[in-house]
Amino acid sequence: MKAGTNHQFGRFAITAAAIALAGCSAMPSLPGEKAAPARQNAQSGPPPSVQNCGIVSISSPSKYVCNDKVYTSFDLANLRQDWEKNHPVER
Amino acid sequence: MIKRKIKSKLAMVVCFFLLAVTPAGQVLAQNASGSGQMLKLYVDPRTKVVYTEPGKGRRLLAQIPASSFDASAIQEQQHKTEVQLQQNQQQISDLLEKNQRLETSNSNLTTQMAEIRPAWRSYIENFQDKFQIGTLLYGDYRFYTHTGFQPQELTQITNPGPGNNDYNAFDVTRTYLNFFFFPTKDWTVRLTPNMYKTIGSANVKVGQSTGFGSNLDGDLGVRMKYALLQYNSLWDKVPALKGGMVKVGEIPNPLVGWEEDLYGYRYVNLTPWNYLSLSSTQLGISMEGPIRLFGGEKTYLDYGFGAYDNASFHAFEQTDTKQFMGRLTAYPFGADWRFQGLGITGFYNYGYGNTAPDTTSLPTEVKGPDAHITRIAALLHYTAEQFGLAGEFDYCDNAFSAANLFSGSGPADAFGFPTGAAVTAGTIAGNTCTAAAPCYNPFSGYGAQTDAWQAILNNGRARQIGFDMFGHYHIPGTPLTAFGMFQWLMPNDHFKSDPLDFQRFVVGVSYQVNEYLRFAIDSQNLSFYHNQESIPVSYLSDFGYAPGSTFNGRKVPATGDIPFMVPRDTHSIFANMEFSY
Repeated sequence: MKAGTNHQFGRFAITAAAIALAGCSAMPSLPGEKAAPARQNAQSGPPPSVQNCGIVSISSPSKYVCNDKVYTSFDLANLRQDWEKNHPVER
Repeated sequence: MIKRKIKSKLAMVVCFFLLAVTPAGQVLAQNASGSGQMLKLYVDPRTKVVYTEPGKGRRLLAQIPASSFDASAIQEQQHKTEVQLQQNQQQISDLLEKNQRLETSNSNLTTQMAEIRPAWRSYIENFQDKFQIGTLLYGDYRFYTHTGFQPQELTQITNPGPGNNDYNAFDVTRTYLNFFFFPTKDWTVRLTPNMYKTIGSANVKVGQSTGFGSNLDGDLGVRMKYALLQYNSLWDKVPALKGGMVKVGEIPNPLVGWEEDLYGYRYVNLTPWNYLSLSSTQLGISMEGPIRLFGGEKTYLDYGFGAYDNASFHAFEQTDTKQFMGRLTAYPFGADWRFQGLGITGFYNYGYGNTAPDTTSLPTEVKGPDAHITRIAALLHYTAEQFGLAGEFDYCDNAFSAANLFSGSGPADAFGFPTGAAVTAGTIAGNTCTAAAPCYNPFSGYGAQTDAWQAILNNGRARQIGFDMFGHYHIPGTPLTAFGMFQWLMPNDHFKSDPLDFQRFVVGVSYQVNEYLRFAIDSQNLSFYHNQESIPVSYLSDFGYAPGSTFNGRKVPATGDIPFMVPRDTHSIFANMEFSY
């Protein structure tokens, strides 16, 4: 009986810890901070914006250079849309 | 009781076993020696045992004809049964064999289907990789504070000449539908229909008394801008030249498209040579590509050259000669991406006017449109992500005709319609005028001036010299980019104080809405910068002007000066739009 009680307590403790970890991971680390995006990591800053790029070819599709890297207009649009999807505007 | 039942059943089993299994011959030997005899069976009612002989307490159970036990008949029956059995076995064997064949066939079919399906699926899955459709749309609204004669600012747009200030219009100047087909990685097919504004009103007479009005005047028609086959792998095995390609068909030439991309604002205005006379597209064959030196990925040279019709893509080729064009761009410090850094570009073009051989062979005082055409451009340019700046020097022969000057707007006299009041009596400018032989009044209309302008530009010995600058600068932190172009052309530097010398300048701001859409607002201006002047007929005659000759049915001045030789300036404001996908 005593052993059974310990066993149940252990399961409860593991479950509680898992819930706590899962819950805390979705909370702001400090009051006032925004929730971390699901896919954010150290390298996932905002993608290059076409407004800040130089155009190098006007065609189908047009090509732009941003930070010494060449993108098609489709590339830039996809990057922007992915970013906006993962960083919704708070209203 | 149980034992009795067992015995009874056992007796019956034995009986039927004997009937079925005991050799008929033995039975017959004992009980039926021939046909007609009967086999008698007896049963003991108490024990239920069946006997073949009578005995105490036994009762006759049954009599069976001996013929039914005929040995030969049984043997025959057995034989038949065996034959039937063999036949059945054979049928079963055949069915098994057939089934085996069907299973094999089914297996083969399944294999074939398995082989076919991936190919089919591959075709469908790769379909999107083999085709690409894009579009490029240019549109504008323009307002002229001052109208004048001038070349087109954009493809096929026109404006009324002097005296039509405040003219304004909405235009669509480009509607590419770019169809690309990539049958293999080596080959590309491009088809690009594009709209253009039709101009023309040649009515048609049919029969003796019927006429049809032209329906071309101002319609937005469609024509092919590009129709080409491109081979992409010419230098794939030469790392330094990898990326080179060959194009054949209706293709872009090596300068105009390249310079449009260098400038970046083709949707606002034409680049210098395109503005003057060189179409972006001809029919021919070309080769172009980068050259990477020192085993790296940087581009140090970029080339393009080819042979083309003398006619542009929207004209019928009349000549028995062809033109050559070549461009070479050097990036002394290497370019990681197109145009990056400092670039030095040279362009050379040699060709002829689009005139049929039987016309060019006629003796003429001046070559005029039969003359050769040379275009040389030398550019120094620097491009960074946030700005670009280019300077260009142009040097050419017979590359800017009166038709080019008046492609956007020109005096009606240049198109066969005399202007101004005709002088039908008396004398003027050295001519005697009558109703049958009227004269141009050089102070009315543009007839005398137009004839003189054509002499300056179309004499076959005109040499053009020009200087151009263009560039852009992205305003940091905004979607705005300031851009501008300055063009200075002396259409015939052999002509002193050429009244047609002009400067053109475009200044504007572009707004990048998103990856596909741009807007711009800009001012476009053309200034014939000399003070107003008169040109002596005697001087003009050195350039092919024929004093007192007839032009559009009227005599042009034979003596004296032709006044008002400097055309009026043009000033306008444009709002432009580009959609590229």
